Amino acid sequence: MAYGNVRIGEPKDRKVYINGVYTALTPPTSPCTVTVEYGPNTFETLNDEKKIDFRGDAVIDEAHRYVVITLAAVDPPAPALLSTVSPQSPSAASATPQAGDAGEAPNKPNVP
Amino acid sequence: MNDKSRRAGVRAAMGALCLAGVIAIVSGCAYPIRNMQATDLNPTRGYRWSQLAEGRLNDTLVIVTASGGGTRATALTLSLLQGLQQVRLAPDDTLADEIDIISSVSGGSVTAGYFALRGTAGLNDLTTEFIRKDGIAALARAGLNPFGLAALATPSKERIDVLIDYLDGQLFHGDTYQALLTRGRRPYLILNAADMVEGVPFPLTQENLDLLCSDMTGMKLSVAVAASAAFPVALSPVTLKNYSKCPAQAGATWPPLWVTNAANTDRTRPENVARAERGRVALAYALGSEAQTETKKQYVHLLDGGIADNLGLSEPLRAVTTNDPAPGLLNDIADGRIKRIVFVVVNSRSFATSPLDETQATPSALAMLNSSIAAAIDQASVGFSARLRTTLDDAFTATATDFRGDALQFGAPELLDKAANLDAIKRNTFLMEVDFANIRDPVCRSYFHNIPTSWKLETSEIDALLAMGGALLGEAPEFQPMVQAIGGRMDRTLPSVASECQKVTTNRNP
Repeated sequence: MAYGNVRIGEPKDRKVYINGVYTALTPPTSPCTVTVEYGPNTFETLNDEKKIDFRGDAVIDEAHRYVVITLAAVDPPAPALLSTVSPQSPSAASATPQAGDAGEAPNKPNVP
Repeated sequence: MNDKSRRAGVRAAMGALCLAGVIAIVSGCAYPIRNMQATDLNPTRGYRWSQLAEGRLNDTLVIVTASGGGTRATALTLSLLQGLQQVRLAPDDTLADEIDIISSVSGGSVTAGYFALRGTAGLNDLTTEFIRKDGIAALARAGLNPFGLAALATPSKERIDVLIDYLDGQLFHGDTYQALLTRGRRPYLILNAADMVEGVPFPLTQENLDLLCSDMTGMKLSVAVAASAAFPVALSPVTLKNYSKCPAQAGATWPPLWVTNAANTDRTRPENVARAERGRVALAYALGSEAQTETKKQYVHLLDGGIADNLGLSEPLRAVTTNDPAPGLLNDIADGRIKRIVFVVVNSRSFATSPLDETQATPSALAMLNSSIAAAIDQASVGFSARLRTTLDDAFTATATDFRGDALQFGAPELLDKAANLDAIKRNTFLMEVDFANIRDPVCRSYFHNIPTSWKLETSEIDALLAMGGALLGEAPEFQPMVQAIGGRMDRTLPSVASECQKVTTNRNP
């Protein structure tokens, strides 16, 4: 087990969900520093319709144990995993995002 | 055997055969379906950690793990829960009511499942309805009568059904996970089986069932407990159907990010292996029939969780050291939302003496088969709980040190707070072991270690177990500091190990 931290500044005052776990009881609110395991990690915010509207990725390892990222807008907002949107609905079926395909913010490793 | 009894035997066998044929035709020779396909995987529904109301100790995470060991484990776990019930926090609240997570295997799962369903109010029923019953005789009656034999000769009824029916008849009465959801409060129940192909724990949680596109709300508790207790060979596995990929998963990222990110972790680094391995197995479940490998996981065969983790520790350990579902509490610990961890490990492992040690004769095939399973399960428990303390300490200490260095290097003062929180949680983790190995008196210790792994125990053995769990809890070095830290007080003094050992000795040498 090894851990690092990801600083998420923007957007502000938004609950940040880690690695698609939208059932977290107490997601951190941006700006925040999130403790994560080594390896790839994804950070997202959900809008009022529970769709992903901001997303960013960071890979944490020994050389990049503190990373600062800005989440980028996902346009159009994408259904979250296990969405509350009915899977049969046309709007849900029309957009199937892949991990990191939309609005991905580049890593800014080790920026104080 | 005379002619008359031989004819009766033949008639019974023919009758069973005919009955098997009729049942096979009626059932269409279908294997039983133990889990239903999900039509909706909405995270605000289903039996999930996030759907259960937390207790009053909201800055304290209370975890109980219960090992396997047949009725021995069922009784010892019950005794532990009754011990926790003596720690009063408020007029209507005890430490047993504040358990957040109960994670169990096999015999421990009987108590865990029933406790999650009925709470402290149901603890006495467990004694009368299960622990003091002769489960072996009941299982034999159910499986060996002509109807039972006939049914077991068809695919629609498997050997595990005998245990499922028994658990349902005695305790669960058809209740499903929906009943736990209706109850709506913690403890969050994690019954642990083992994937017999992967050889890894398979915790029966909705998040794990999501990967199979399955809704566990309608799964019978008796099925889940039996899966956790499906002792290899003697019982058949509980087989779950993997419905992935299914319509309920459409329209969103699939597999989930927590799976793909874990699977994509660089496994050549030793510190990453645990996460990468979690990801590899979860990815295989999530891809199901769409896997790009020769083996497509269309079914998951579940055996006794003891073959992978006989203490039920792996899931709670994952919960406090990762952000994976569910729950993944790493960030809550680093941010100081969880200030204290109360961790009680019930280890009911046996250490029975064997006549094999005193004879040169070649052990029978059955003895070898039994040893290759049982000895491995018991050995999987040895020293594991001691390693839990080391694992938690090492993880938190090393991480706190790293974070202090990072705070300076990157000018990130918030990391100093996280380091302080990790140091604090290390100081405020109370780990208590309820383990026969902690009985100092060698005769008494041997008595408990030699209680057999069975669904039937002698009355004296049950009485001894129902007292010893609480006694071992009360004498755990961190018990009194823990009670003080959470502001509790004892309703009643727990029995001492010495006094319970005295009773055992007296009963054996009246």
